[in-house]
Amino acid sequence: MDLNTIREIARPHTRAQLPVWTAGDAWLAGGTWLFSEPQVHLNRLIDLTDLKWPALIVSDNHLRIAATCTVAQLDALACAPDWIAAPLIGQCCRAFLASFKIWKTATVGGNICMSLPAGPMISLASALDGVCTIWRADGSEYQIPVADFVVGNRRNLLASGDLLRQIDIPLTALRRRSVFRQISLTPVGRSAALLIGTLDGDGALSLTVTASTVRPIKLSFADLPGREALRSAILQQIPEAVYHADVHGRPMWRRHMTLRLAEEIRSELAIDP
Amino acid sequence: MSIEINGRTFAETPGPGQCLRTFLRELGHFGVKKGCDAGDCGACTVLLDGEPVHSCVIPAFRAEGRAVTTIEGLGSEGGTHPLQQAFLDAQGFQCGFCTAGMILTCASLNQAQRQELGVALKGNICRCTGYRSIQDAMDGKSNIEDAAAGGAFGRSLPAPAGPLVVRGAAPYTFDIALDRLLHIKLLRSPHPHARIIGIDKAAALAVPGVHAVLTHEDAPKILFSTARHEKDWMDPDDTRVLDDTVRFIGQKVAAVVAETEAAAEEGCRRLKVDYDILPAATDPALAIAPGAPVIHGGKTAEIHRVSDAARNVVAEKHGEFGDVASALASSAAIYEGTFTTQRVQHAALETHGGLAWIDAGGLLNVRSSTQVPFLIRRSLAQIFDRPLDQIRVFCDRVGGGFGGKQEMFVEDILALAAIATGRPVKLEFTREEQFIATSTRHPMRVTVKAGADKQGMLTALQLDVLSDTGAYGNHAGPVLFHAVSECISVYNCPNKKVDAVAAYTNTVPAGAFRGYGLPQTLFAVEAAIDELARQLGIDPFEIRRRNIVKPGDAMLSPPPSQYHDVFYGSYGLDQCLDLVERAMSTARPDYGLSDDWLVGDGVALTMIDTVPPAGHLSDSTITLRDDGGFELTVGTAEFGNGTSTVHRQIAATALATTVDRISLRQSDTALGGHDTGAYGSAGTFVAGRATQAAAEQLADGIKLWLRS
Repeated sequence: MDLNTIREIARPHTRAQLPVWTAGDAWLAGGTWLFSEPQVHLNRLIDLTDLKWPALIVSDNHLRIAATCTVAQLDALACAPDWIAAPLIGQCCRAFLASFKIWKTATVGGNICMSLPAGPMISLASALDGVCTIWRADGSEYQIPVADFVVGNRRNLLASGDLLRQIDIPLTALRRRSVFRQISLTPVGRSAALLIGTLDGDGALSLTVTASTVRPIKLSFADLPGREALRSAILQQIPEAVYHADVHGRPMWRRHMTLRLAEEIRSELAIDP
Repeated sequence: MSIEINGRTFAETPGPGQCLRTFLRELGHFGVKKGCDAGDCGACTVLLDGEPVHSCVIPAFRAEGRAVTTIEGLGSEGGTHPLQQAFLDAQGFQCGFCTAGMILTCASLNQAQRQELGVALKGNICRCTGYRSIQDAMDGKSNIEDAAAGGAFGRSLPAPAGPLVVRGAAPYTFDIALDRLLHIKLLRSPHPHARIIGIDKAAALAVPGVHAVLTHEDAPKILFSTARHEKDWMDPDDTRVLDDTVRFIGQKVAAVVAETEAAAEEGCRRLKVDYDILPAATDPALAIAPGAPVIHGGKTAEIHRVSDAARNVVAEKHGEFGDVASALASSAAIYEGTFTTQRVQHAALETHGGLAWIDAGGLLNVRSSTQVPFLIRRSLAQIFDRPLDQIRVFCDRVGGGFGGKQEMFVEDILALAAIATGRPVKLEFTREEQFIATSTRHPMRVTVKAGADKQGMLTALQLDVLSDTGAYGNHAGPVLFHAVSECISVYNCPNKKVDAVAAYTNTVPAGAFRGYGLPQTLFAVEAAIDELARQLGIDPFEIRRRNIVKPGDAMLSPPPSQYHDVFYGSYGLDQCLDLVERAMSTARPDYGLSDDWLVGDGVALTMIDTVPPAGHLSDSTITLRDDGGFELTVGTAEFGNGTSTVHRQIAATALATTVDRISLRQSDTALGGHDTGAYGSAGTFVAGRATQAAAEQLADGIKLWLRS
């Protein structure tokens, strides 16, 4: 929709050109959320497009995803054959409530910074041990795991004027076995629970719970746990208050699905491929 | 900036916060529609450098140097794209408001996406079709038939507007450019119940481009109902154009009229309103309990047709025949249950709105998204004390109605603003306004009691209904009365009782919605019938067969209806049950579900009168033209209901010709006559009957002329 209070679009080309952050500013990445609701408190959009961050870079150790990388670009990434966790990328892209048409514009960074419980890029990046690089408004920067960056429903650690630059995913994480499970109240609806389990070479299980909880919760096990051990770990480590409540699912049902999907993941990973 | 649209280069520059959707429309591409304006519904889909995007969430400035294809440019050189033809062949549309975006999206799908059409189209909402005919279009199926001269009736003929719809060329309400147009935005109440003490307009009027601020002080004092019925007495007079009391969150408080929507919005933000906040009642049961805040104090049954304002009861109905209590006491099986139904919005893809202007001759023109242009005109005449012939109300193609446009939510403000400013004005609701400030289905609490003897013959049927009509009583009574009528009168039963109350609450008003009250209650009645069948060990089809009305049986619901205009036109309920039973007894589809899924099936029936009660009127005119074709003029509106197809079929059949010889003019008070409106199937059964009579008379006239 038209954002009629916007008076200016800033289009910096370099970090040095980023304007001084003032009240009424917003970063513009894809814009698919920004333009979907009235934003009468805003008067300037700072467009990140002309910074021309390379969408995806594969180095020796990391897959670097620019915050401005679109969902469609990530989905189209040609993955190395030994990235056996790569199917998670497509699975998480398809877990968007939004149409594939929105993926062409919506960005990975935008989804993470929205910090909705059902944000599938949060699920993906958390499960694969992604680390955010944050550009601080004062010119410094710091790094923080995605799973710690999102702290609640539409809440994260970004301070005013901070900017998410990129997410680095260790290639070791992409080489782990993985299992994906997701459920919604309606077919192709908004995720009510999205769980990802990964198993590393030493047999350690990492279980990432998203969508059913207001923030990503990661559970680690040195070995693949038994059915009961997994269940009690979830019950102990995810307090009831952390389960999300909205029209897309009640907390009790979300917890039930979390336990069920976790067990499905455990059983699947228990079978030797 | 430079942008290429459908092969043509434009040099206009959009506003900094403008989205691509409105920019394209400003440049004359009206095929780009606004459904949600939030990136969900896909009505605004265009191709950006060949890729489909939702133009409502694309910043317009990002289209710089890029190529946009709208529906108008999809077919090469004004020709028809194969998918446009496929949508025509399958008739993959009804109101057609989603069609441009649907076709552009479908045209861009790859083979894999076509295999999973449900996933591929989740960003394209069609409110009318249920997607079946869209699937047909993608499968290359044809759903249209031919008809020889005189054989149109009963054939599956295509909608006459189809070729325009698939090209994005059918003009909907807002698809018109007017010079000197002003825009209206409404300030809405943040309180569920408050008296307005004062409105300070100064800061709003100081916004550059603001022409007027209209408040209750500018509005006529007259009370009316937003509900539009052929008979005004069906609804209470409880609403003003702008009131000095607000009764729900979202009620309009003031209208700001300005050169741009942006200025009007800014004007709304700068209005200072002083409210005296009043206690509110939002639960219907509490609202009718003693001590509840009175929402429409001072209104009476005699003057305003509000049943009991002191108790917040706008309409009620109580009656019994036989003796339900003793029948229940001696029944072999009894069932009692309470069901509640929720608020639902119509979600027509085209939002409410319209345009109004006063032409050089002083005629007030109102073009709006309506199901009832003639009844809107009558209401405007009363409110603004203007003769009927000084008002013209019309609609072009309307993007869905579902009952939600059997109301006057915008035309009164449009008229007020056009009169106040002397300029053409436009008001287009946002999707949010649709949800918070138009109407919904009436939420109801329905308690049913039912009894049957050992043979499964009904002994007693009782309904106790509490309907939540919200802050205003539009459709409160008629919906309530309909809700307790056919769902029980379809069954023979010697003892029936009804207690029904429609309550005011400080919530968004409920209104007309397809089914008009019946869906809420039939669920309860049919559940009761099923439970009786279960208790008695009788097949659910069989118990219905034993109790349904047979030809000639009186169709009774207490108290006996004041209308005596319901009769059997034909009878097929027994065959209907047989057909359903046969269809359901054939092999069940294999859903591929594991054993822990419980799968069941069930049956329910109900009855609905073909036309609303108490008299509805429609004029049709048909003329033989010099070229041998016919010109048919009807008042009824087209919003995907298919009446344009039907009227041509009726006329062509009566005149022993083909439908292409019938040109149709419709839904414009300037064309003369009267029309009740398009609701309760009146567009087919009332207006269609008029067309039939007119065409038959003309046919007789032609025969006479040929003989003479």
